[in-house]
Amino acid sequence: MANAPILTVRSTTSPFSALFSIPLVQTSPSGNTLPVNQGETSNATLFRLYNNFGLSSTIASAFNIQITAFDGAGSSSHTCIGSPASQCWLMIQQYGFGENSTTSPDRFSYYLDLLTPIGGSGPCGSSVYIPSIGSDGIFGSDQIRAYSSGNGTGFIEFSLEAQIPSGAGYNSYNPAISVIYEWIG
Amino acid sequence: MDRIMSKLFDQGLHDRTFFTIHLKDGTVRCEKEHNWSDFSEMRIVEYFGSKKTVAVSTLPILKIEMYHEGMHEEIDVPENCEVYQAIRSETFIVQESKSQILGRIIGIIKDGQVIEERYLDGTDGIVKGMKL
Repeated sequence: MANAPILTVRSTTSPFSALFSIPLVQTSPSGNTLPVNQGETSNATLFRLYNNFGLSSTIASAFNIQITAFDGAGSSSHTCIGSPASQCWLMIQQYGFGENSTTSPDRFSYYLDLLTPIGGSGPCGSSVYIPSIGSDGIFGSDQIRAYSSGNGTGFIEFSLEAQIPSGAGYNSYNPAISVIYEWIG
Repeated sequence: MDRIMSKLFDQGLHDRTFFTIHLKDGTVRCEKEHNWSDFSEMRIVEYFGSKKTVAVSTLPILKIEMYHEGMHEEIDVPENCEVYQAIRSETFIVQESKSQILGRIIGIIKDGQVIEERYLDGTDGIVKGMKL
């Protein structure tokens, strides 16, 4: 028997704390955080998508992973009225992967994939990103396992940035990154 | 909560989503008592011009039924074909990671290629699919 995957977003550095938002900003030469100017690109932010970071038992692999963007979660989920989602301002790429029976060492392996726009409006969320290498290091597996045993953890590391077009104006947005996957019990 | 409901609940499912398979030996297996992972193997197959990872049954199945949120679909498995099924879920990366089940998938494979797939979409309340 396998239980549902437990996917969480976490930092890329030990102790890999949970992240509750991914700010997309620019940084001034003095180190101050600034909004992203129209016509420019935000800093690239790294994050990890873990399966079973808490090391529960018999956790299923999450396979056929697809990543896209919507206006938000909750009542805004699966809509694309806002520009970041409808115009695919968000760009994502795989940056690495890893697995282990414990969370440390993380056994990170570097892999830089093609930067891909996500979101879209024809229909909403139709522009998706599919990771090239799974947490198990196999090219084309696009899955995040809970290690080979189902009792450990696995992750894929991503790089996310926002490319803001000229004429975007002055606005504040909170788009949601959606991870759709399949699993079996 | 009885044993069967507890099993589904512990897996992250509920009693409104489950498969039933009819085997060639005349027996019937339901997800409420059986786990697909116990009689399937993972494979990468051709999928309408691309590739897809599926959990293919190692048992000889005559018919597969899928129930999800009031929807019901069944496929009679053609000769020399195989069967897969899966749960489709979604996690949102905003404020806090939350997961939800979107729907259920059943599909037929012939010679390493998906020839039919049906998706019981719990979000839209309709069955979608593709067929060669």
